[in-house]
Amino acid sequence: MTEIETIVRSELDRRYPTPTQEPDWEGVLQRVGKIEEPIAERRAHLPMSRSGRRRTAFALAAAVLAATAATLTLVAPWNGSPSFVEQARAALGGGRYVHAVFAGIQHGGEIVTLASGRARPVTQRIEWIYDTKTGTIQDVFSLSGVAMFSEQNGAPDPAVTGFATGYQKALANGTARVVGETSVNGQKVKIIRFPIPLNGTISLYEDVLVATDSHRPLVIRYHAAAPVRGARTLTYRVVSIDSSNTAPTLAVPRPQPLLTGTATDIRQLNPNEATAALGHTALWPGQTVSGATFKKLRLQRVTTSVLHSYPPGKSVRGLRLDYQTGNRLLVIQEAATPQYSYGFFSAQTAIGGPVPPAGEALLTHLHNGWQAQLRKGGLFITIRTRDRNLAIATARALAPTP
Amino acid sequence: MAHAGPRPNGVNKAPPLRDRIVMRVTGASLDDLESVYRQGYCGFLRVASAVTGEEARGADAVQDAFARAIEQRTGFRGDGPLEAWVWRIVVNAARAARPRHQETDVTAVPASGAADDDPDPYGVDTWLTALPERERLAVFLRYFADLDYRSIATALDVEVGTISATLHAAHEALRRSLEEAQQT
Repeated sequence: MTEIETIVRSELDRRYPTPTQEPDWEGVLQRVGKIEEPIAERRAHLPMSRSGRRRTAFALAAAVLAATAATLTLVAPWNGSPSFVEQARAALGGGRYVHAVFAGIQHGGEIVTLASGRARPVTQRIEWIYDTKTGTIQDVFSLSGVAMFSEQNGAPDPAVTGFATGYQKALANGTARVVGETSVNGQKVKIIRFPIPLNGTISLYEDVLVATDSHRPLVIRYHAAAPVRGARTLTYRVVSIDSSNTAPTLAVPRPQPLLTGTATDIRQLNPNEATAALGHTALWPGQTVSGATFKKLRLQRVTTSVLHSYPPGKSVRGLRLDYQTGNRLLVIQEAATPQYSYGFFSAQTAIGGPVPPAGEALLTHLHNGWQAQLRKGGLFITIRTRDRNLAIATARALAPTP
Repeated sequence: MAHAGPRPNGVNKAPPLRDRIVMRVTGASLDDLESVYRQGYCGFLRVASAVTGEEARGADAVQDAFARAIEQRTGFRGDGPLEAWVWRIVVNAARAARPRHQETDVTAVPASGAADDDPDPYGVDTWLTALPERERLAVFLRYFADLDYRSIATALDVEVGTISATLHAAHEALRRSLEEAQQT
């Protein structure tokens, strides 16, 4: 889940609290056959329900095009002079199942080796299998080599979804066009562009950079037709793409429960009381760290639970340390187990990606600054500050409290 | 805040309800519908309440929708999850149940109930209000019902790629407003 999704979920939970009504199946059964003629359904169908008709028309048109294309192929493939788009379509193969692997970089994510300060990006890997007959997609999303989730159960990447569901179709129905040429790692490519259906004011497009010699896609990118301020262009390298008539197997991670968490202050502590109160050797960066001065330390009651479940998870003790530099805060949170309200989803995953081994920190750029997450001395620690270097310096300076 | 964290090993061994139900070929049994109702009631009610603007009206819409689903259950063709088919009925029932003055402003955003100094620190109210109806419905289905994109697409009768693009555009809009708020 991205930071934006976390904010949206949190704010929606606040505005629309969990309802108090209980399910009443008997009440449903009593209404069967007694509901008035569905004015609701006559009047209330969404405006885009017309898309069903559009889809039917499109399917018919596509079927005609496909039949025409098949006939042409049988009689005289490409009429002796295939276009680049036709060759790109042929390069995908004719198998029912398309199996592809994409690689990219997680925006705003880094893994820092604390001893050297060297940073490397958090990498993304998306593997999917698209069944061209049923239109279903199986996929696995990995960050820095750790399989995180299946995006069909989460938030499918629009670039990959657009490619999966649109590229073959666009090549077949004529909406894909060559719009330019460039090179990828010295290899000449042509840019094939096709539109992504979206009922809005912004037109969205997928570009597929196709090798001029092999006609195979090398890079996909997803963007608005006109520049949109602040919008990112999502880009992925196509590691491999093949098709076959035998369904490949993909080890899809199980769907994951949604978590929620709380952190409540118990009392304020002096640093020399921290270890006893926590029940575990507490860590801090000292009275000062890179110009930030220690202000206060609080013992907290921290709980992580599965959303909408009862009873809530068992509460544990955590520490929150506040430092100040100028008018800005540096906050350190630590507990002996991964806690949702401290930014951990499990011992393996945190905001921004997988939790790295001891000696490294996961550094994530959030909308209000930087967050470093690490394991040290048996603790799961989160550091939040506006200054990237201060976050790293704090992570490096952590040592037992007096 | 909530997040899709990993599922501990050994928990929830049974296949998800959605997977079990999608195996059926045609029609939906009363047991299936009751199972969807009981397991998903909270999500149905939250979405319906958000669309209609109040919980009581939303609850009424959910009851009507399931009664309608029972009446129409033989029409379920089994070409997708039963849950998604039901969601389409619930969304339509909720839209029909909203007050007349709301009909051009469906899924209106209520004033924040939070007692903070800043009731809308991230501008989420503003963002939700500015979203087109379909995008707002997609947001509700995604976050209240935890539906995957394919199920949202089925519920709203659009392509899954459109839902992916729609929610991406909506998230981008919020991200930009957050960045602007941060700069000011």
